[in-house]
Amino acid sequence: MKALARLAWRNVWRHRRRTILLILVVAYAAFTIVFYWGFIDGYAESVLSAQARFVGAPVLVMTQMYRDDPDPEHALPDLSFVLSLRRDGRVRAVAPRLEFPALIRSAYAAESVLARGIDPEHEGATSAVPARLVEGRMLRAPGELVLGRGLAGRIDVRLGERAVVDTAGPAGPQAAGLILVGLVETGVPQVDDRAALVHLDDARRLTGTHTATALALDVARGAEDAVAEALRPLLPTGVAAYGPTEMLGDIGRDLEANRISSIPIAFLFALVAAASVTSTATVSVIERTRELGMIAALGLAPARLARVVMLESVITSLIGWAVGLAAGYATLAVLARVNVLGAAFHSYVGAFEALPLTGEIYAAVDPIYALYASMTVFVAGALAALIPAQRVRRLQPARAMRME
Amino acid sequence: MLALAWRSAWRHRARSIGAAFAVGFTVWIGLAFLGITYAYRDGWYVTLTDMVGHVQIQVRGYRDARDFRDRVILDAATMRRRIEAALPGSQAAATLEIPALLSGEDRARGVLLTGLDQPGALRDRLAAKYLHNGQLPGPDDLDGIALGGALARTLQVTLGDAVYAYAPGTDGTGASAYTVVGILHFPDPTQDARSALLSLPAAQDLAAPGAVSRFELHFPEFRRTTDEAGLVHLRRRIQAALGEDVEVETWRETYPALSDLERTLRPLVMFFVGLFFVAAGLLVVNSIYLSVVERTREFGVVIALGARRGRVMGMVLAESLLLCATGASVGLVSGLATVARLARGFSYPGSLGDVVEAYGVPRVMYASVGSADVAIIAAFVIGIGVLAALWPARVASRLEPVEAMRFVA
Repeated sequence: MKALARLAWRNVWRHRRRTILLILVVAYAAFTIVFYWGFIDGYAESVLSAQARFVGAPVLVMTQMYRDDPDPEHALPDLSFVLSLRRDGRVRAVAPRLEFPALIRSAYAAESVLARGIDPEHEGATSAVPARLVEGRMLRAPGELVLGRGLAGRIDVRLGERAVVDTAGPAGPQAAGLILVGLVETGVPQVDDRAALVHLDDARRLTGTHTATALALDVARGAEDAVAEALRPLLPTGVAAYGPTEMLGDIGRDLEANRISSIPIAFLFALVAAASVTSTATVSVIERTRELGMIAALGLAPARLARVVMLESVITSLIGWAVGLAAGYATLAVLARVNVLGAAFHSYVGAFEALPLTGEIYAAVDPIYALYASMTVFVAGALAALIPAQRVRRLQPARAMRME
Repeated sequence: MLALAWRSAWRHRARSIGAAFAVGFTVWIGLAFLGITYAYRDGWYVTLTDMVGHVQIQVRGYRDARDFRDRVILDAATMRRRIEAALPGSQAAATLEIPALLSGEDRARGVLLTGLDQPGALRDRLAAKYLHNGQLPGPDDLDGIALGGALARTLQVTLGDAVYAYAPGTDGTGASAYTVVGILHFPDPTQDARSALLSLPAAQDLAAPGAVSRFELHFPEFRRTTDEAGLVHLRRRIQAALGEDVEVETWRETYPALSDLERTLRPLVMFFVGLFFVAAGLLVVNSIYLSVVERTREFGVVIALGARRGRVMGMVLAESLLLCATGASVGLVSGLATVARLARGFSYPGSLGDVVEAYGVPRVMYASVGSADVAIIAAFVIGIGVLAALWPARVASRLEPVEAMRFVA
């Protein structure tokens, strides 16, 4: 066996051009499959993650009542479990939020908004909104207000000016005059046209609620839904954690439908790719019919000769498979960190208002893609190893040597 | 030379058929993929233009106007007469949008009140698509209102309950009570939580007597984005007829982001189809290369007899192109047949149909491909035909006649 392996190894490198072609074909199949899924999943993840970080949070903890009926009267009953969440290794940050419907008035106009009371110290870790400040500064103390730039424009209020926030909740009709200290602009219309950030203390005073309507948690990108699921047993009764797929409802379903409809394409591609791998390997045997006939004539039993040929295919396919996976995952690793896809889309599409995207599209990296690619290469490799080996087994040395 | 290529290509029937089949299969996949994608796109297009019209007429400067009065067409009746004079028999819907506060017994929320005056067919489609319970307010109903499902839940109201609307800073009564006659369901959660529909007269009484935010012109003959060639010209004609007080925009100008997204579809699909063609091209490379190697002696003789290298390369190229063209024509015929079948209407199986329907795509869709798409696919085929021949052709043209004639594989 060892001798056969050595023979196969030497054959692989004697036909360098052929070998390189087969390696490239296998690598292309593996690379394309890994890249395809990284792109499809990454796009879906980017939409979810952008939506989560701008509109909600990676994971939101709230009462089940609040989820059905988002009103401050269904706020969290107490915040004593925050400490245990902060200690959990999967949770990178916790920020309390108190959201309430309000009317925001300037001297000229009024608009109804869903105001968000935040803890300025922690909010930045769970939301991308504070980082998108385009004018002024972030909230520091009670009495201050930060608005989406579109909203501020429509009610015509400028930095340093006062706006009035009206609300009616458990505490009855309440109003507070707040100074506008900063403007945010994210590219997400839901934020730019509607965001009103106030200090958590102001929100508590206006609504008469002493806790928060939700806790925003920061967790790793791609792990949101799993962490939300895992945290549920640790929460008090009536309180649950929600990941973006659940919070986004129909958007999540649409993304899932997109993913399902990309499966047939991937399958058809695997078919064509497998055919080209098999054909390349077969050709490399046919090309050497005479040479193989010579080896057979020298006394190598057809079964063992078939094994040599099979080993050659396996070695070459393995190299191609490894090269393809390495290149595929390296590309995804770069695309998962650097916003190349987003820039490419952006230069073509121009704007992203139709989707809750912010111009950032990152590829996903999931070990399962290696399995998809390996299945294709395995099937193709098996055919590539068996079909030519079968030919070899039927080889008649005298005829083969005479063949052109 | 073609006859020669034809004979060489079919000397090894199984191998050539395999490679030609791969090309044909890829052409078929490309056409079917495009056909289905366009069916999806056109379904989405009909849903979108049903909602917003093909052409919108709004007051000049409406985008930057802050005051409610500066954002509406004040004399809607006159404008409607002018539209009808300019485009006799056109279908125009009128819409008045009012930011307002809507309250139930205990709760109040900010909403976008929309007064609608639509042609009957559009109204029926709107009801069929989004009405969850009850009915839409009638065209002259001053009392009825239909609410988004999430909004109704938040306000804790249901069919038959009263709601109160406040629209401060407007020119109408500014406040009014309505009865909930319909509950709608919009797939977009934000829209579901902020939408309330009234009849146009009810909205005008509340906020702006005689005014509308916009007119939406519907052209039922435009059912596909590819029907739109005449739309820009039509827009110019309407703009000229209505004067400079209003801005006439196609849906592409009003919603540039959606328009851009629509335009990315074809390149994206073509990119994926390209990946297929590379894989199929590799099969062609194998087939052609092998046929060159097997005929090394033959090529040696041809070169010895005085054929120039270019001519030898041409022979190989012709064989490759012939192989691709044969496969492609079979793929083209079966691909177009598939698209023609799907063009009579198809729908997604099972619950997937519900999902896409929730996303504004009709349950039954109609596939189509354009001549430009067939041309691009043909270019792909020629491209791989040439690329696949390059290496084998180089090998063939570099043969030394004497060595080649003595060559044994």
